[in-house]
Amino acid sequence: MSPTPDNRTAQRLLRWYPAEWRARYGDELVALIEDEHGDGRPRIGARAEVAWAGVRERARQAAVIGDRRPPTERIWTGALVVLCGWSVFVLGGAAFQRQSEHFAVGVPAGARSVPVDAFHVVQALAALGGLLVVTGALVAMPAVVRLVGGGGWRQLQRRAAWTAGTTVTCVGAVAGLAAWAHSLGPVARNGGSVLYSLAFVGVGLLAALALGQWTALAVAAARRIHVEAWLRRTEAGLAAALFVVMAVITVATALWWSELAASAPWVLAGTGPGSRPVAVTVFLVTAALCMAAGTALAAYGVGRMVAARPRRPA
Amino acid sequence: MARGTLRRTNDPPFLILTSLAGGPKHGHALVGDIEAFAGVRLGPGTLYGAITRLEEDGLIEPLPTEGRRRPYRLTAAGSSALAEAVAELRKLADAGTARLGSVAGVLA
Repeated sequence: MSPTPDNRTAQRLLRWYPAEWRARYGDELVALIEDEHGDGRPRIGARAEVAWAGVRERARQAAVIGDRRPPTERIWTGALVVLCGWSVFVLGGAAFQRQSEHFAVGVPAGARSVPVDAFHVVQALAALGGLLVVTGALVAMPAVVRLVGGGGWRQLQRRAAWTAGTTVTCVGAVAGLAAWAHSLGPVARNGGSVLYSLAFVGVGLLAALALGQWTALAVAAARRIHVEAWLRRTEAGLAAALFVVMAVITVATALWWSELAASAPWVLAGTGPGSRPVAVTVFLVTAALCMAAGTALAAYGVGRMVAARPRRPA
Repeated sequence: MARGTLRRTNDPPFLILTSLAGGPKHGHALVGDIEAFAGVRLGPGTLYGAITRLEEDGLIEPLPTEGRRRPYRLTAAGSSALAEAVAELRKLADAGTARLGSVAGVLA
């Protein structure tokens, strides 16, 4: 159907749906939207309803929701959902890292052991989590090489180019920011310079974009490779372990936060020793939200894997 | 209040099957018919989500398009599924009616 001024909105709404679905039902849905709304543009609520249904259709087709896709595909998708959760979690980890720099110096000696121990747990498990992700990538690498060798590169080329571009820009921006930071004093670096703070936030967003693009590239490659049973089992095991790591880090971070809020809130707020400021900062809230969201996403992925696993006959 | 909470029959697949039991219909006709007999107006996204699922399950089937609209009709499997669902609802309705009767007896 060629777009006319009347059905342009309906055609645009179709973009929310997967291509295969659009090919089968697209024209019918456009006709129905037009029948329902005449020549006028559908209201925002009506557009949201169609868009949301399209998102659900995509999620269903990708085996992220529903139980109509084969169990093997649901398990594989569950593992990929855990990977996405880890990416969100890493953003929280970066915010936590920024907040916790040299924190122990300002904590009274008697109150130091719990937050320091919790911090060490976070550090050790963050390294373990990174190791699990790298192991997962290495284990899948032969299948990715086969995909690329078999002509699959063309399907990933554009996404890979964007990812590489963002990464190079991000590395350049971080280097520039680091050089600038060296020329500033501690006060200017910690909120005294509005320009520096804005640049810091900008680079943070760029890094988040690069991380998101790497994750999307990994998911796109993983959805196209040939997945053998041993690979699926291995990745599912790694994903489950990664979820446990994330859950424990989240608990350790919460313990670290609550202990410091009770014994040395000035360390969190950056005020003078002995003061009693509110122990909530932008970095802490970002860390908490991203860690909680990442862990929840990973829990969902693990739940999908568990629900789809083959049952032993009773 | 509870009236909205207690309405069990506004499940889109059930409504669509019920509507198609009266004869083949395309999307717009389905929306109008369902609103008329159930008082529920399904959005286009919800309707086509349910149609997709029902067609996948073989409970409805498409007929040749009429212009840009495509009518659907109930299959034999769809009729059986609807009959089962209706029987289940009737059983529940009978149980509810009987118990309401005994409550009315106690209150009288």
